[in-house]
Amino acid sequence: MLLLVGAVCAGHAQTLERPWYAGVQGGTSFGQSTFSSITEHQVHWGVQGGLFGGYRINRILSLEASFQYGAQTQSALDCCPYWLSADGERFAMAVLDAPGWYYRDLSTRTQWGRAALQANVNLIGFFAKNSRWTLNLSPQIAAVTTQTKLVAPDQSILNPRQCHLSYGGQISLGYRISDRIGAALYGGVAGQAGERFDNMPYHGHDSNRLWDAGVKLSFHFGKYPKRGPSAAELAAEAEAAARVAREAEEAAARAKAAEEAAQAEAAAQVAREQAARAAAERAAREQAEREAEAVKEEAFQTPIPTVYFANNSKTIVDSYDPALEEALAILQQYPDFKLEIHAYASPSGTKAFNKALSKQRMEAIQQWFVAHGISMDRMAEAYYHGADYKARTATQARRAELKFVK
Amino acid sequence: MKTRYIFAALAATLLLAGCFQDVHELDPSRNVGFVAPELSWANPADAGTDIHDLLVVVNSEEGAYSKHYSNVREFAREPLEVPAGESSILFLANAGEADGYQLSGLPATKFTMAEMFLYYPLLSALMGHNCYMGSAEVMVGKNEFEAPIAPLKPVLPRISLSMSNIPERARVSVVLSNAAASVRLNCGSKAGVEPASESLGNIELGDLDKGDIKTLVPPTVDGASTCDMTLSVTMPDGTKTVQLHAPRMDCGGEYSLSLDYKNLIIKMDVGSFIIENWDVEHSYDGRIYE
Repeated sequence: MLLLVGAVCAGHAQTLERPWYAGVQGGTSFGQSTFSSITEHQVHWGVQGGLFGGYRINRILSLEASFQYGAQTQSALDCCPYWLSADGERFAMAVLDAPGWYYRDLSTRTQWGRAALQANVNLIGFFAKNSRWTLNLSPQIAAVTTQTKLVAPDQSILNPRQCHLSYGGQISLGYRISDRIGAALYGGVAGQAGERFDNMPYHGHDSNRLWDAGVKLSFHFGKYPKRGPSAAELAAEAEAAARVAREAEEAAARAKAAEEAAQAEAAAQVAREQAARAAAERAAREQAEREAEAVKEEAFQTPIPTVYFANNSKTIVDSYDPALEEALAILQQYPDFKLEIHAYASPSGTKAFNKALSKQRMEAIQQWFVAHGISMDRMAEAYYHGADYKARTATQARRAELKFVK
Repeated sequence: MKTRYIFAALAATLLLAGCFQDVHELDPSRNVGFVAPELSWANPADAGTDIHDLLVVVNSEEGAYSKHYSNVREFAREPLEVPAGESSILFLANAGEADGYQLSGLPATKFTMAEMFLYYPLLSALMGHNCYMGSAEVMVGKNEFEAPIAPLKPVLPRISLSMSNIPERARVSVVLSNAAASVRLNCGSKAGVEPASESLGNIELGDLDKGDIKTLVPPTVDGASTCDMTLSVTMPDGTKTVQLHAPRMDCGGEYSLSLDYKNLIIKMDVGSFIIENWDVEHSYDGRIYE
């Protein structure tokens, strides 16, 4: 008690950082097998107590081992008006001439010991990180030994000791009074496998369990060892690393986007420059084309000197070569240019002769250009007119006129 | 976090696993109750008698049924299932044919109770093998459990005859004349057994000059006020008989009669006498176990 008071007075400096704990527990116990500690007419309060110790893994889970010893009395329920023969067999009624006892006149006193291992799941730990309160659900497995004495009106019989595998658990409500002291109220139930621990014959009840309830006082000690990061910490670190990675990715994405934007801008600039250049080039080209067109037009408009022939001759004298070569150059430069030819003769002579002569003179012009690489197709518009009666003189009549056509 | 909740749920499940359903075997849905009669001996002297045949007849408003058991432990293993309400139960022990008895009118299952008679055709072979009868009246509710006590009483009366001072050459024989041919077993509202009215005829009980007579006898026929016996004394010079009228012998009774030849021979000339009027030299002891 002094320890508890001291612990309370020690204040609220508890840190819940002490993982190891050990303590004592004690209270009452009940049994329920063929006979029961709680019947319609009475309650047989048993006693139990023991030691326990454990390790708290985290605020939710702890592992605990315990050793208990208990004893309780059990008697028959009203629903079981049976009779037990002296040889241990159960009957619905007394067997004539056979010794035995009625269930209602019997009681059993069971002493038991239990070595248990349980896991405590603190439900409050789910919601509060540093609460003084604990509400534990504790599944438990245990090895149990029992020994029962049958108490009859005229004698008592000590039955052999039994061993059981026990399964069940506890529920407890605890409070951490101080840094080192804790207290809890608990209740538990555990089914016993194997033989009925009260050694009474089976009569339809499936019960074979021990109940216990009481108080636990615990002393907490030790420190959590230095150790690597916990799973939660690792998870937090991983989460932080993931966050940093996400931020880096986002920054990289942003930089990449900016770079792409810059690249796009540069590309656009280049495109604009190229467009400008293209436009300039196009303008220049158009200008050049226009200039070329002008040159071409100028060339097209260039007059070709008339070629005059000697009397009765179809021969082109050499003096006309420069002029014809100039026309030839223009024809070679502009393939779409064609040459239109008009040939004449002087009025002397017959009309037919003059017709033929003018034709020969037209052909002489064609032949000259064909000889210099111009196809006849470009000279399709060639005409011979015969005698030119409109010419002032015969010399002016003996001629061939040339001009560019498209 | 989700994993932790699952673990907590598993822990709660395991914790509650110790609180499995406790089903009791006596929980039928039918409208029946249970009776566990405690058999006992009405006569403590019968304690230890081996019961190797036990007939149980249950009679209720819903009909009657019977069941045979080969021993008491087998009978005691399960309670009797009876309809809720009033029932009368009759127990008949060691009354099988192997013991020299014959039973008539045994009810079939769920049929109205008929009149049952127990015959003893092999009476001479019965010797000391009596049969026993018990009964119980119960009122049991649905699913209720009653444990009435049913004392087993002997069915046939037992007589013990002795005579003193018999001359050496005298022969004294005893004949029972108004014994019932059977006994009626009543499973009705007042379960019991009583003699039938049909007479079995003369039954030779033995010779008193050879020793005491101790034997089972049929009960006196129903309606007779006295049990009639004929004592015959045979001497070298002849035979004399005398009618002896004793109180009637009922089922389960034990009767003893001690006679003195000297006093009896005085009555010989009378021809008959009644035990009740005998003087102190004669003794009579009759007892019926209730």
